[in-house]
Amino acid sequence: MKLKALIPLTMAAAMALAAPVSAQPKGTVSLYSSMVLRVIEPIVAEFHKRHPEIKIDLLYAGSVQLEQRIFAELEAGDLRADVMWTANPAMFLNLKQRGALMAYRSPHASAIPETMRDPDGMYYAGRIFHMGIAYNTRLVPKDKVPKTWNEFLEFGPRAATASPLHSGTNFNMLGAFVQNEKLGWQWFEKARKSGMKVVRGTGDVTRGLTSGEFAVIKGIDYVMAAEAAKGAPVAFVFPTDGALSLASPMAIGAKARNPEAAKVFLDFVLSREGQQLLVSMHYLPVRGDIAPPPGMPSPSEIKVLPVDYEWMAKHGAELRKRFAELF
Amino acid sequence: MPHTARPIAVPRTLDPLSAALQRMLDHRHLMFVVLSFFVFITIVYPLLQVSVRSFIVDGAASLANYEQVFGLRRNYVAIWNSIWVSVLATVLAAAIGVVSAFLVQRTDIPAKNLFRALLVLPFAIPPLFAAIGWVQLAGPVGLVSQAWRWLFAAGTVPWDVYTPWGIIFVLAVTKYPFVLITVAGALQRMDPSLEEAARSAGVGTWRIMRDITLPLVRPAIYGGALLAFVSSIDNFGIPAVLGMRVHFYVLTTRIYEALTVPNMPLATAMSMLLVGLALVSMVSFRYAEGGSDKYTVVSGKSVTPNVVRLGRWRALVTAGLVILVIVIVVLPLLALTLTSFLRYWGADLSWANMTLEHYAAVLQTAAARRGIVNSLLLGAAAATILVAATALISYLTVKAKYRAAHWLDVAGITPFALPGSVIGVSMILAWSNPPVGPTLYGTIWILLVAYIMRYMAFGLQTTRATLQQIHGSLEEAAMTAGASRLRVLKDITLPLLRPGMVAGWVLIFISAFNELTVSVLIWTSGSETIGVWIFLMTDSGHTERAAGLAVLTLPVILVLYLLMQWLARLEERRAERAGLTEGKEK
Repeated sequence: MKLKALIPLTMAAAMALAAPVSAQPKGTVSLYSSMVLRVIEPIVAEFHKRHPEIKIDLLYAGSVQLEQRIFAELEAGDLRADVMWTANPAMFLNLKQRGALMAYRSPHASAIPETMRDPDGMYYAGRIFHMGIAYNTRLVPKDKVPKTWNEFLEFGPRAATASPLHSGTNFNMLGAFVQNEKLGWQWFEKARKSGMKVVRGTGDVTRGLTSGEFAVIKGIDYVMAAEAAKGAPVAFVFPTDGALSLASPMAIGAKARNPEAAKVFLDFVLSREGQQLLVSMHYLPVRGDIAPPPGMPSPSEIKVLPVDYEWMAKHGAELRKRFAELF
Repeated sequence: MPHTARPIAVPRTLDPLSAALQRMLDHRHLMFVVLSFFVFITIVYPLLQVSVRSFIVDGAASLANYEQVFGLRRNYVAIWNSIWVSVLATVLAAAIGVVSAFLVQRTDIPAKNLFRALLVLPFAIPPLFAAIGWVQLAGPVGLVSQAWRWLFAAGTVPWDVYTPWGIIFVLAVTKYPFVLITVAGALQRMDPSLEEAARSAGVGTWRIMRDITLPLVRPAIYGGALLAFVSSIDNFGIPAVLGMRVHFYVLTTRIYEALTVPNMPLATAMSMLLVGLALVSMVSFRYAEGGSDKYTVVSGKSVTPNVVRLGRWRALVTAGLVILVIVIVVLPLLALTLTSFLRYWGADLSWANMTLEHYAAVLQTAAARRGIVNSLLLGAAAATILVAATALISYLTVKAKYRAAHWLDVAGITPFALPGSVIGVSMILAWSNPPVGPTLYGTIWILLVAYIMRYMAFGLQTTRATLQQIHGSLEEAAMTAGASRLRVLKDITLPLLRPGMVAGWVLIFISAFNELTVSVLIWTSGSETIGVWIFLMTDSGHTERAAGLAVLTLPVILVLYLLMQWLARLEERRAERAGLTEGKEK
């Protein structure tokens, strides 16, 4: 394991040494990101420290707004992003098909599992996060914490989720449930009967949980970690029948104005240092050669609900329609 | 259409040929051409960019998007819900707006200026907080609900915010300022001679109000109510937060589903329903106000309407207004302020849970500070440009009877009915690679152009309502005396129009200052606005910081509002004095 990990490391080191000799990338990189500010700002700051010659022009927006912007710019014939880093893998599949991405063989590719990157080098997961069960620690005693999605439904109308029609993460969750034999549409039908609340977005469902309106929700690991850090009575568990594991892909635009500097930034996020920074912010690393954050299970211990994004892209409209009819 | 005598265009002494020549060179044509160009650039061109694409599917002309809109039963349910909820919310908003405008403008209640300023404040609360603020107050675990249960030792509260009635209530208490500001502007300029005549004839106060005062401000009520109605059907946050969990959908919550995909052509097709609803309501409001020309009695003579003495009702009415202000102004502001001090959303009210760290974080964010400055400048610029342009458009439609100008009126109100995202995308499509002219996208100017597009309706409605109050007699007299149309416009119409322009300016400024949904799609680093930062912080899980930033903007808006009021009064007094001396000289 250690030896294996060393090979890409030396490669990376060699690349890093070789880079200044050929051409020193500099100038401005336009970064479109939906990583919350708390996460993206320290990454940009650390990058500046290491590469003062490259300026990152950060354009942060919510997931939905950023996608609207990216597609509107494409439609207008001028996608202005050098690097895009958002939370929706399906969008990158779409962008790849439209030819809007630039292929890049990052020297870090070999350290990243194949499921975490595009085979053609069009995009790489820069971060992973999970959707599982979050609960209010004041309302749910330790021994009553739901361990499975069916136990989750026992909370009836005090259980809640954000709408898959309004939240990208929850749409992926819907796809994962439907593709799962044990959960499937029956789970949602049961949820409808038990009175589970479907609210608009991540913000609404999170506020409902911290204020005690809801006892359990479908929650996102890093969002809950941040709330708990503020002192809110919330905690997160990985359900035994499967959590959703989502990659936040990162890619370079096909018409990037500063592709060389863009590559430097992409490499930094994928590097050991970049990933270590994310680990310190309670994320699981995308590299196999870095230990998970303390208290977090390692990726092999988490049961993950598989998602077929190509299938989702094909059946998206159908999924939305059926969900809208149910709720 | 009002039916006053058509003002005489040229003095009768001119020979027919030069009269015809003068008509051709009539300033109205020039004015119309310039204003049409302005409306085309700021509204028609971007609107075409986005609407044309709703008729294209996979590169070919198609009605598939519209089939998808009209083929689904749930969309009809959503349309119906949008209509009835918005109608009831508008009625309630108009009632609150008219009554409070009358009280602060025309009665002898104490502390009128304070009430006036307080009643405008809810308009300055970012729309994002309107809904979640009321959940925090009156939701199942809300502060008011807890207080109620404690006071009455009750297990449940007799209301539920998660119902259509909750949506109607919250819409009404956030949209009434449209009516308040428009009607207060109209009342300010009202000629009291009719009222005085009625009073000396022994008619009671209530009848005077019902039969004289109310009809006099009718155009303003319609003008404000139309804005309240359109902004209710157009509202997304309130029905999304309060309605979705009980499976109550309106048009905007359905449109958002298409925006999330993102399927912009489909969202545009659905938005056309909103535009249709807005235009239908605009036509009905115009139709309803049709005969109101006979009430146009602002004559420019006496501009200080008399004050209605409430007598023994004064204490009771004041108490009622205080309660109203506490419920619709103080409570939401309190919720917003509390949020900004609590460690996390929904924390118990204890000292241990209070913190100043959100404010510290906001003040340390350079981009948020830049945002305040940018928003102030952009809001003021948009308001000033729009008030000038829309005053002239309303002049053409109402006073100069220039029929073609009605198209400018219709075009101007359309974007207000569109969801912000559609406007944002239309801006990118229009200004990212324009065939001619500068690439505005990527600069701060795109925000100014977007605000002009979005808020033209406010200027049109307020100036139109005020102009309809002004009787043609003064202008006709001036023209018979040989004054040119332009001179009449400058010396008579515009000064009389001032209260309407001030009302429009305030509405546009506050809205643009807080604008969020459009800005978040088209801002670039360096051109941050308040709305962008409030949104980004909320989206990043820092609702508390966003609330802190919103609280910090309230005094800014309040000071600016008071300054506007003060300037308007000052100007008015000056004009009054000037008018008096001029009259004596003649």
